[in-house]
Order: sequence, then C-alpha cells, then structure tokens
Amino acid sequence: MKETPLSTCERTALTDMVECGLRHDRRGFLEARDTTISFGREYGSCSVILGETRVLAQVTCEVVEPRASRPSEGKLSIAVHLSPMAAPHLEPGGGGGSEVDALQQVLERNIKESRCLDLESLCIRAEESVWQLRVDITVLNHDGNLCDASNMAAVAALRHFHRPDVLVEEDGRVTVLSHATSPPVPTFMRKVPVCVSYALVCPQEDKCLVLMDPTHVEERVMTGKLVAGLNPHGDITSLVFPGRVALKKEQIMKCLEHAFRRAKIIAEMVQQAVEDDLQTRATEDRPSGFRDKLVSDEEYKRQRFTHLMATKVLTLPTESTEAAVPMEEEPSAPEEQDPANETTTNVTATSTNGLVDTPDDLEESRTTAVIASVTKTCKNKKKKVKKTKDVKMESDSEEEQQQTLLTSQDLQ
Amino acid sequence: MGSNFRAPDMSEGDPTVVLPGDLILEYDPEKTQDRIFLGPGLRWQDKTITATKCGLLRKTPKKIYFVDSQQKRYVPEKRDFVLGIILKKRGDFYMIDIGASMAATISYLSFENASKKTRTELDVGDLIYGKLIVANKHMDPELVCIDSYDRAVGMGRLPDGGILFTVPLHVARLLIKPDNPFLHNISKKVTYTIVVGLNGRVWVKTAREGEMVAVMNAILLLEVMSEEEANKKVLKVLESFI
Repeated sequence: MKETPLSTCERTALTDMVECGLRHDRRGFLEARDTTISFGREYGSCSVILGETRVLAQVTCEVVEPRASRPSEGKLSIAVHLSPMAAPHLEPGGGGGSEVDALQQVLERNIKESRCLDLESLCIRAEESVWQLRVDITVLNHDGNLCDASNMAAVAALRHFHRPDVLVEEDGRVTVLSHATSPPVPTFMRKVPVCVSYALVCPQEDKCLVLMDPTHVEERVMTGKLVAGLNPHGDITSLVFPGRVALKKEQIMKCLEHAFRRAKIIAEMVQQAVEDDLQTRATEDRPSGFRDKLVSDEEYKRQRFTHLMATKVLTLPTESTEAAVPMEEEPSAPEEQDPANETTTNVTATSTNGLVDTPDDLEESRTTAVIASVTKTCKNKKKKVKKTKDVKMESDSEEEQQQTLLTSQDLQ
Repeated sequence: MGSNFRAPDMSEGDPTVVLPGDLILEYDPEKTQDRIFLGPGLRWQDKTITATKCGLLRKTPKKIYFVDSQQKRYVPEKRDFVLGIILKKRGDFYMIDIGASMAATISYLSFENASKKTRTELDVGDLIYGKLIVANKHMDPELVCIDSYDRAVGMGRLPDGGILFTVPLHVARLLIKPDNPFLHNISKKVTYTIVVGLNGRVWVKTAREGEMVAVMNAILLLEVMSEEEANKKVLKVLESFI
C-alpha cells in the first residue's frame, strides 16, 4: 500500500508552526516524548515506547563457529524488521527498503562497531565455538524516530540478556546448561551507546530549526536529519546527516553537546531500568513480563491530554520567534552566505546514499544547499574522534584538521 | 416502519450490536413505498439487508441506516463528503487520494463554473473537499465538487493556510453529528473554520497558528474519550494552549 501523500497544507502548517516555536504536540523543540522501557518474561526481551512509536527487541543466542579472522571473539548480529504492522505503507516481508537498511546501518555502527559489547567474553573455545548473539528488532508502531527507539531497545535488551552457562568437557565437547541447573551468565557491556535524532526543518532558505525526537509527520516534512550515535563517555560512534541542509559547524557542535547531555539521561534510564528489572526478577518466581507494564495507545493519549490540561503553556510565542527558538537555532543567515566563510562553515560534503557530490564540485558551485552526509565510524580506532564539551576550546585549525580527517575517511 | 422490517428494536437511543452477516431487515422496494438509505457497513442483496461490519447499528430520523464501528481505514461510500489530496493530473481527470485503497478521480468539469475553457487549475498536494458520486467495488471512486444544481455549496479547493490531520472514522462522524455540541464548545474560545471529511481527515483554519494546534488537540480528545467527557474537557484543553 502506498503511503498517503503529504499535502502542501500539512507541510506549510508544520513549518509555519515550527517557525512560531510550536510543535503539534506542544513539545519544546528539544523535548523528547515520554519514554517507557519494559522487559518481558524472558531475558533479553525489551519493549521501548517512545510516544506512539513502539519497538520490541529480543536477544537470542546460539553456539557457532567463530570467524577464522577472529577466532576468540563471539558474534553479534542485528536484524531490523519493519512490517506493515508498523505503518501500512511499509512492504510486507521486512526485506529491503531503504528505511530498514538505514536503520540497520545506524544500529550496527552504534552497537556492533562501537565495540561496546565485549565479544571476547562470548568465546567458549577459541577457534571452535563461540556464542552468537542475535538482536531482533521489530517495529510495532511507527510514529517517527525509529533510530532512537530501536537503539534504546536493542541496548536495553542486550544489557538485560543472560546467556546460559556452558560446560566444556576435557575432550572438547560443549554442553549448554539450562537455566535451572546453573545460573545464567549476564552479558558484559562496557558502555551504553545512545542514538539521538534531530529533525532539521527549514521554514526559509537561510533558517534552520532543530527539533529533537521528531514524530512521523515531522520526519516527512523535515529537510534534513541529524542522527548522532554516541555514548555518555564522550565518544561519537556514528553521525548521519542526510538531506539537503547546510548546517554551520557551531550548530552541529551545539546539537552534539545537547546530544551528549541527552545521552547521559538515556544511558542512566536504560541502566536503571535493566537493574530494576533484574532485581525484581530475582525476587519473583515467575516474572510478570509485559503483562502489567505495557500502556495502550489510548491510555497514553489520555495521559498526554491530562498532562496538557495540567500544565499551561507558559507564553504562546506568536510574535517573537526569538523567545521560542531554542539555543540550537541558527543565529543568523548572512554569515552563512558569506562566500569567504563558506568552505569552512559548511560541513564538508560527502556522498549520501546514491548521490555523490565531490567536494570539488561543491566548491565550484558554492551552493549553500549542500547534500551532506557525514558518517564517522570508529571502525578504525586511530581515527576515533573524541568530542566532548571542551571541543569548543579547540582552535579552529584543529577542527579543520579533524574535518579533513573525517572527509578523507568518508571518501574511502 | 413497514411490517416487513424484522430488525431488532432500532429506537434512537439504544443501538444494537451487529456482526457481519447478521440479518438487519428485509427490504423489497417493489413491495413497500418506504425508501431507506444504507450507509457504511450494510449491504442489500436478495431483498435483505445484512451487516458487513461489526459495530453498533444506527438509524437517523431520515431513515439512513449504518453500522457505527471503530476503524481508521476509509472505505468509499456513495454520497460521502470527503477530503482528498491531489495526487496527479491524468488527462481530463485529477487523481485524488481519499485515504481509501484506490485513488479517486475528479473531472476538471465537476467544479463550479468550470467549462472546457475555464478549467480549475489544481496543483499536486492541494486539498479538495468533495462528494463521492461513484463508489463501488468495480470502479474507481469518483468525486464531484458541485451539487445537482451545479453549485459548489462549500465544496472545492480548500484555501491555503489551514492544518490537516487525521482522526479515526467514528470521530469524524461524531464531529458532524448535528446534535453534538462539541464544535460549538470549541467556538466559545476560538473562531475557526473546520472541514470534516468522512474519510477521517479534518482541516482547521484559524487566524493564529497557536489556535490551530489548540483546536487540533481538542478534536483529538474525542479519539480517547466519550462524547460527554470530551465535551467537559474540551475547554480545559483549549485553555491550556491559548
């Protein structure tokens, strides 16, 4: 089934309102929707509700042969399932689709390639048998910001997961012990990777507003998106920046600063949720699972309205956009159009999916609308860029150096 | 009601629950002078009327029968007023998305004062409020923006600057129910223009953006609350926004 076309009315209404500092659900620009993390009856099954977006992650494990290149490391695979259940326009079967691929890529970068999970602890016998963990992420309802929700679900599920203990006999036979005979072993996860998405809505050519945790409508209207994968320790594991937007360096830095603050909150929330559940699980004979914890959509909406009625909007910013605009708002346009600044201010453009813009072309055309997609991975540890709040203090030359480093990396 | 009406008691206040396949009444237009209209969820075949959906069987004083059920996907029904989005132009027709499984069509001549020379130009993404004149399972649905006297009576392209959102179908029906004070309650606080399509699309326009969001959220109340409760709370929601 085809997706309902986006009418001009919806598009202009949303951009106009965002310009006035108002979102459809009266959230602040940098306010996320309510997040609920709940765990199922089994280890490693976790559901995350982010507004009306619902994601279910389930971790399973099996004993497999390790890769020849890494004989003492376990394996981790992540699979995303987007079915028409999530949104009617999605193709059944789950396979293919750019949305699935993009989501999967972000998750793999954040969780797998950031090496937050200690794969060596999953080794049973080097070169013979290792554990393979498989994270299945099923999107139950799609109301925007799938990246954040599925990342959160996957991480919480992995942290929650306990694999069965094994017994290695002298002749090399491996026996997997049931949970009843020996206590299960928790997975060891050093860091909590977090994904934070920002929608970039441009009401005018030279103005760009940043909305955190976009809903589906906002995602459809937005001009570009900034998805940052990071962890509260100050590492950026991925940065995807698709769409036709030019952002200034400072804006991106501000976004990232905010993302780090948000990452801290989410990481704590995930850790807390996992710990709480494991504690209650220890006391119960039979965990209740999702039964008592899941909230129906209707209930959620009711709560939202009750909350709305309880809190009055402080000042409805109709006249002064300045008041409504959060700190992420781009200060002014003229600087951006200044050709002298341009090469340094624009994040150097690289390839998006399919569209390839070489930096040379861009310099020639000097367009402000840059198709930019900066993807940093810390695949190569030497190139891992540490960006913390003190990054502001760094001199420009250093930053430029970093950027060139990143570009060269991207173009590889 | 004629004697051949075998239906359960269909007095106004107390709707009965019907399931697909339930016999509603026997109706033979040759034998009776009573003329009735069938709305969504009912079907007339072999001189009997049966339900095709589960829900509450309702009847209006004008002898319109329909099954009131909760659903979000619109199934085109003749004589329904719907809100559509222009998809593309195809020859003498515009293709319109009305939220149904098939795109609807509208001839460029079915607008007020339209002729072959003065045709109404519509762009992709424009909103159209029209009435369905063809809706059956064998043909593409067709819309018109004029009544039988060639007048627009409010139909046609909607002006710029409103807000469009989707509600479940029963909410759309509830909104336009004549005795529902809900919209009047909203108008106590906000002056607004509203267009409700039976396909669950609602378009609202007010002078200020903030009010539009307020009205939108107020209408969304109906989705989770009963009519009475929503009527009580609507002003509070509006106040919280304005």
